[in-house]
Amino acid sequence: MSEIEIEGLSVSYGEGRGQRQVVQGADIAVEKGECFGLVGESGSGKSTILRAAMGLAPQWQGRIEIAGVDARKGPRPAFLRKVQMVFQDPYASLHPRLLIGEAIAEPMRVNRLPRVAERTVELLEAIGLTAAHRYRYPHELSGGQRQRVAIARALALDPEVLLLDEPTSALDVSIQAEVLNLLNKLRAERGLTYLIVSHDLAVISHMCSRLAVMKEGRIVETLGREELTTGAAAEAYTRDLIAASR
Amino acid sequence: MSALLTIEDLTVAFPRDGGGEELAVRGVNLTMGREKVGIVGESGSGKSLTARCILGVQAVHARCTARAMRFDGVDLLTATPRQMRSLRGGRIGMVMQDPRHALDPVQRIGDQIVEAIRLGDRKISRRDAWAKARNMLESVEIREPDRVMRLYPHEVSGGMGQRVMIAIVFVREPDLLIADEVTSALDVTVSARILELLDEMVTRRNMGLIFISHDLNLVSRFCDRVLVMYAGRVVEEIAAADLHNAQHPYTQGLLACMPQIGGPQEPLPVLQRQESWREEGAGA
Repeated sequence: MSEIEIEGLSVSYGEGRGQRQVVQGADIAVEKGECFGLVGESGSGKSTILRAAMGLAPQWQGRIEIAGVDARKGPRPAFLRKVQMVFQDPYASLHPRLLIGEAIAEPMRVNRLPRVAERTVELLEAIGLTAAHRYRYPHELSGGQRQRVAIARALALDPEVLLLDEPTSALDVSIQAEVLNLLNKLRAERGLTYLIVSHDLAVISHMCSRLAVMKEGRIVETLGREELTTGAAAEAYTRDLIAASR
Repeated sequence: MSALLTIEDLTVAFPRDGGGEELAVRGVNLTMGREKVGIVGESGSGKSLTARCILGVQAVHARCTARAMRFDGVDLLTATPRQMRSLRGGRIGMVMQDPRHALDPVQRIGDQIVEAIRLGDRKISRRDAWAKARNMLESVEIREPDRVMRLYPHEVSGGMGQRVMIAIVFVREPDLLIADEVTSALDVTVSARILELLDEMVTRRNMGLIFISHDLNLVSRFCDRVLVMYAGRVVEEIAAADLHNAQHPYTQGLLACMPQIGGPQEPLPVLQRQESWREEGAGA
């Protein structure tokens, strides 16, 4: 059984005449410890798949199962402790009036976990900041530091899967390198599984072993890193995407 | 090549909390003709601020000083507000990153282009201006110009919005175009086409172009020469074709830390910033 199993996922937004199908019949299987990429143009539905998995896009059909827990039938708190999400813009995803320490501790408090204070410091150190950063606000940190904090918060419940939605596209390339290195280190150390959305094929090539290409709500092709490198994709659309990214 | 734009020793200072000033741009020099000049650097390096000072649209509390700033014979330091208004959008055009923020959300696209045309030519009839706007949309490769003229900005995609922005700038036939991260909000396939379009239009009209981007590879493909900015200074100036032989450790570091398709899946080299980079300048 795979760590992430998505079968026949269809997602829609809106209702009545305004209803729009944004993902249609997506199938994704990601093995434990793997990093799997989702690429495609804006509006292709790649982020929506992550949002459906997290319960942020409630109108979905199909099956989502993460680390053995079914997103619909399984107990919700247990599901959310298996999977957490990191968003594109850490300035928007961190509460501006919560201290960094509070932001990281909040999911642990909500879930009534023990040793919140010690765990907060451990998490800050794991992402390359220090205990002193607990008393800072998000606006006092740089973009790269803020994204590290968002990663620490996502790790607070000790999840097995991280859903990464364009985690570095708001960052400069030099900072992107640091965050990607951190993500790879954490994955190796903690045996995490990643599903990462990016429009940047170079980032996907650096992080992933396999990827799916999306267009207009459908997965048009799933390919390995080798085919991405050689450009030997089956679909013309994928070849265009690779050519434009060189 | 006669200079279209000359900037000597441009410095921009912001007041710091608790007194004193923070220098955001420090001694930038740029002399350019009708050519494509790229400015690259990380966020906060001062590249957009430099461009804004050329147009005099920097924030009100920014103190912008220079030994000289001239645009085609006009002294930008002593120009009257009236002179500056006629340059902005007229002889110097600017396209910004996100069309969804730069376009007026409550005005139809056609009306916004017509407004730009009539600001430049007060005698043109509304009907002629409408026809001219429509043709301009056609030349930026919008397929159904008549339909798009009647749409609001939220009804078009990011790529189409950026084409509209380019159309608005080009109807005034500027001599210098400042393009600030024009493709960063767009998908790769769309962005490639927008750049080709921009390149064609700038070349055909023999304009000067200042192309601001954080993407070094893009700039090296697109421009004639590149200024690399760090902490408000130009640390290196290099012919775009030679960017990959850059000498400054900052430029080299920026190039090295980018992942490549098919590159090794090892930790990426991380930029080791040196305090000395803040002080030494290559000087353009």
